[in-house]
Amino acid sequence: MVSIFYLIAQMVGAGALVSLLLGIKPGTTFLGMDADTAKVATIILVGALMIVYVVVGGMKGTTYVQIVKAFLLMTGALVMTLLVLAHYKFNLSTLLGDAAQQSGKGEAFLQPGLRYGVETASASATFYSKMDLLSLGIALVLGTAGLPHILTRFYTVPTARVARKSVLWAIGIIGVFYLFTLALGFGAAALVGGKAITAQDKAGNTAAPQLAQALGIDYLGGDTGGSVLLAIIAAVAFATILAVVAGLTLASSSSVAHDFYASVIKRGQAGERDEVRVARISAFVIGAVAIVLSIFAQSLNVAFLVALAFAVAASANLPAILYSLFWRRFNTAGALWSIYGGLIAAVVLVFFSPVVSGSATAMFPDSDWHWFPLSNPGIISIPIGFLCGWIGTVTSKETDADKYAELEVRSLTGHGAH
Amino acid sequence: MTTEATPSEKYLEVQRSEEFAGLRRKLRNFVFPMTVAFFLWYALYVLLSAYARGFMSAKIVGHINVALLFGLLQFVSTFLIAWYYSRYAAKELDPIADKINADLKEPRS
Repeated sequence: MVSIFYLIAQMVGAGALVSLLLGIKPGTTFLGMDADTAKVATIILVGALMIVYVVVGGMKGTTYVQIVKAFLLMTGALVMTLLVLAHYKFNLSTLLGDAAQQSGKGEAFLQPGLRYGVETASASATFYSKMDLLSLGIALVLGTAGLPHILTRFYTVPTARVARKSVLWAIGIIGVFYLFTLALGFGAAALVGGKAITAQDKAGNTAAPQLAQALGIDYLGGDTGGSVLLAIIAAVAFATILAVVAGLTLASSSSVAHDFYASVIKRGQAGERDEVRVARISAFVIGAVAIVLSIFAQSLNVAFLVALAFAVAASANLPAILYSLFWRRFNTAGALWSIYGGLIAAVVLVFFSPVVSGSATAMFPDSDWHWFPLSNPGIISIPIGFLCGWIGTVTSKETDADKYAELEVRSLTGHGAH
Repeated sequence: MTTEATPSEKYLEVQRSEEFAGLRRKLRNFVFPMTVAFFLWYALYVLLSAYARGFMSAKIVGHINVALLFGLLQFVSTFLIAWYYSRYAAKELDPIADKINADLKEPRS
C-alpha cells in the first residue's frame, strides 16, 4: 500500500517532467500528442522500464542503479546550487529577498504558514489548519522509519557496525542534499518566478528543471546552454525516479513472494526458485497497477501523495517495528492489528478529508462527503496504529518467549549475521 | 558432560544472563532519552511554526529569519545525534555484543 502511493507520486512527477522537457505546454502538441497524452505515454514508459529493471536486475541491479543515480543527483544539485548562489554572490539574504518578491506572495513567502497553519477569521478553521501542520510534521518524521524501500536497505548491510557507518554517511549526504534543495527551491522562486512555475505544471512539480533552464540561459551561453542544462537535470531526475520506483517495486514484489506466497499459500513449502518466479510475476502486476493508478492521479500534487505514503508508513509499519523490537509480549495478532488498523485508519481518514472531496483543490471538487477536517491523517492514525497493536496483542493468548529471546539477542549482538 | 542445548534454549539463556541485561540497559539508556529529546526538539520547531508566527518570522540578518535558522539546526542536531550514537555504540555496546556473540558461537566449557 505504502509502496503504491509512493510509486504513483514518482510516476506522476515523471509525466510532468517529460512534458516540460519536450516543451509541451497545455494546448500545444508534440508528435501529434497533446500535453496530456504525452504525460500518459511517459508514465507507461517509466512503468515498463522499471518492470524490466526489477525483473532482470533484482536487488543487485537496483542497488547499482541507486548508486549511480545518487552520484548524478548530488553532482547535478551541487552544480545548480553553486550557480544559484553565485548568481546572488553567495549572499543568502538577497536570494531570499528576491525569492519572496518573485514568488508573488511577498514577505509571507518566507514566513511559516503559507500553506498550512493559515490564520483566518474563523477560529475552528485556524485550529484545523494548525493541526494539519502538526500532523504533517509528525507523519514525516515518524514515517521515514517505516518506508518499505528504506527498510529493505537494512538487509543489504552485513553487521550493525557497517549499518551505523552507512547510516552516518547517508545522513551526511542526505542532509547536504536537502540543503541544496532548499537553495534550489528559493532559487526557482527567485529566478523562474511563481507564475512561470505554475504555468508549466499547476502543482509545481517541475520547478527544478525549469530552474536549470533559467540558469543555463544565464550562464552557459543563451538558449542552447539552457536546453543543455535542462536536459541534464531532467535526465538526472529521471534516473532518480526510475531508481526509486525500482526499489519500491522490488520491496513490494519480494514481500508478496516471500511473505504471502511462500508462507501463506505454500505454508513454508515453496522452493527458492518458486519464490523468485513469483516475485518477478508480482513485480509485473504491481508495475501495471501503479501505471494505471498514476494515469488517474496525474493532476494531483505529488507532494500530497508522498505525505500520504509517509502517514501510512508511520501508522501501519512503525508500530509493528517498534513493538517487535522492544515489547516481549508482542505477537502475530498484534502485528496484524497494528498494520491493518494503522493502514485502514490513514486511508479512511484521507478518503473523508478535504483532499478527496468538498474543496476546490480536491480530487472530486464537485461532490462533498468529507467530515474529517485535516488533509494529513497522521496525528490521529499513528496513535490508532499503536493502540490497535496493543489491543491485538493483549487480546490474543499467543506468546512466544523463545522467538522474542532469539530476536532480541540477535538484534542486540548481531549473532547470526554474516 | 552436558547435553547440547537447542538453539532456542541457547537464546533464552543468553537473554537471562547478567551480561545481556547490561547490554540491553546500556542501549536503552541511550536510545530512549535521546529519542524523547529529539522528538521534543523537533516538536518545538513544528509547534513554534504553528503557534509562534511572530517569533519565527523575526529577522536575524537581512532576510534570514528564525524559522530558517531553526530548520537548519534540525539538520545539525540529527547529524550530531547519529555521530554521537555511533561513537557510543563503538565504545560501550560493541565490546559486550562481541563477547556475547563469541560465547554463543563457542560455548565456554
